[in-house]
Amino acid sequence: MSITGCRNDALVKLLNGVGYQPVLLPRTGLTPPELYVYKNEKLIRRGPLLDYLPPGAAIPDLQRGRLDSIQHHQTDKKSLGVAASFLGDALKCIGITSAPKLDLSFAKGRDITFSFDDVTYEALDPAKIDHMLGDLRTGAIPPEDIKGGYLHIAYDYAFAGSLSMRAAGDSSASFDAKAIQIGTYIDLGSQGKVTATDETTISFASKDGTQAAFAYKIGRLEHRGKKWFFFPEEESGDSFLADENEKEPYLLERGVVLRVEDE
Amino acid sequence: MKASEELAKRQREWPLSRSDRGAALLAKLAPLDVPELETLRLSSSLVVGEVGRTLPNAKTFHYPDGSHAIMLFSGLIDFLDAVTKILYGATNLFGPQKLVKATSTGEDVTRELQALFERWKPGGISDVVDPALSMSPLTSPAADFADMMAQAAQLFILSHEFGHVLFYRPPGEDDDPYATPVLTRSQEFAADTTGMRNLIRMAKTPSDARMHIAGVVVSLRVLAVFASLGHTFPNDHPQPIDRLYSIARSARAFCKTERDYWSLMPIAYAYDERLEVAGLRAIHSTDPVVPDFDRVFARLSAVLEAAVHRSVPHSKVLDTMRQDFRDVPPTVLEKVAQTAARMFPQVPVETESPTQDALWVEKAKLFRSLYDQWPEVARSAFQNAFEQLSHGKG
Repeated sequence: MSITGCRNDALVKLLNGVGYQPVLLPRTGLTPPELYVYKNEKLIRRGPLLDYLPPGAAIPDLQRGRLDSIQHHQTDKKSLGVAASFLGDALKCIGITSAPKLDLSFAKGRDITFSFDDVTYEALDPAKIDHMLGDLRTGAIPPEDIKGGYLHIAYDYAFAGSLSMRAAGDSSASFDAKAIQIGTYIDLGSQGKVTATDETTISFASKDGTQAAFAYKIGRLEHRGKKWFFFPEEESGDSFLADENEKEPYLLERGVVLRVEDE
Repeated sequence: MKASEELAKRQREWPLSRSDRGAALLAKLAPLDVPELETLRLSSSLVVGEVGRTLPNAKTFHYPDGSHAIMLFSGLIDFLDAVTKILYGATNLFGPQKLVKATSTGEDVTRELQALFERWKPGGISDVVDPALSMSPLTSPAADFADMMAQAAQLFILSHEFGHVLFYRPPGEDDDPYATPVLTRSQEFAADTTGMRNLIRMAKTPSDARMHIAGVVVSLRVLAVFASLGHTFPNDHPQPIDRLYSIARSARAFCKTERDYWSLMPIAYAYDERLEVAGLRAIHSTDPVVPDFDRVFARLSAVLEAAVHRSVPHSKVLDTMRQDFRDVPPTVLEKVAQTAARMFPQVPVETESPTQDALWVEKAKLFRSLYDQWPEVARSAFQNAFEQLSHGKG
């Protein structure tokens, strides 16, 4: 299931372009690698890959770093109604799972854009995943999901330290954010803090630095005979005209933000 | 099945601006004449659909649950639609004692095709030109014929993709997991031949059969032009020009008689030549296109047929062929003359098709009546060929 108001959004396209699938995870604190089933447009988290490996198995060290190519890039302009819904979802990505009050009426009908800031990643080199699959035990995952090729491993998670909301438009567009009492419109409860960065921008961050990934890189798993294979790139298919483009990273679905359900 | 889900996903990712033309093509072919494919289709393990990508391509995907999805990109469908509409812009339509004159000149058409090909760049074509924007729109029946030929070209590609399903073998655990499944060269040729045969069998009339084979040839010639423009084909993939020659050989083998072949091919050869010329211009080649034997004889046969139907005056036959007879090398002319000797015999041939017998008798009569008016070089070649044939029979 994808969330509304984001199809083919500029930020979604940017993320897709660098191989990230935007997602809305059900909770914070999740790190790669994890197993997922994507079937009939439903994305279900099946838990850490480690849970499906024999006791004593270890996950290689994760790589961590900044994702400068993504931070500060803005979404398309969103109308007030869509923006309120998007804000509620986007706050979850920075660890604010419930906000007692999200009133955007101070925007006075102006369109709004969002961007993720302080963007970082935690990733496992996909080349290392193949070597971990020899003893994969799929447990309670339905065999038809395995046979159908619905099983996936997410191996690279993107996190944001904060979220910015801006008045869209030319340089004169403004919320007068410094002048208004922002706290009377937005209450993030005990989880988050909100500040007016300047007249046009309001910034959101969690109080304790908790984060949920807002996008991840994922590949599909295939069981052939007794072996498992991991495909982090898009299958190119048999082409009538040969494909000249380089292989693209695998995506569950382009152009959308997928809502993840826990098993 | 996974194939249906994946097709639906691609259609969400690249939405269509109209109804699914890929699914409509499959409906035209159903029920499929290969039992394995028909079983897959009926169980939804084989799905076909259009995906709104602008690249001129078609792809077949195979899934672990044994299902297959053939995805025809809108760019390919639009490209072939544009090519056939442009080609018909300069096509005179001959009916019995009737001529529907073309709205554009041959030069207009070559220029438009050249412009269409020039939009192609390695990696794809950004946007297909709508010929309606730059040429006089086609009216019926030319528009209907253009649609029929475009559809034939698309059905041929779909039939070829069926070959990718039919020949597919799931990879085993010891196969290279990252190797893309490809057909062998012989399987590629076989897939083309099957596609071509299916299309000819689907034709309800001889006229439809001509359109269908022309659609096949047009689709392969378009690929050949892409190759000349720089599109690289993998080594294990036959070059389009080889596939084109192979289709011509297969069509010959498929036809019961040589006469059937020449009855089938005139439009295909005419459009093939037009596309080649436009393709050469697109790569800025100054090489002249010297007509080969097939094209020259197909042209001779076609213009004789038009004259017999009184769609054009007899003088048009001479005007049409004079340049060919002047330009072609002696070896080509000799081959044309030998074929003419076989196809236009003095003693009429009787077959199971009296209508065709009568038509070819008239064509033979007209051809012979013009003998004194052919250029000297052609007269001499024809004389030799008729004598050789007569001695051979004697």
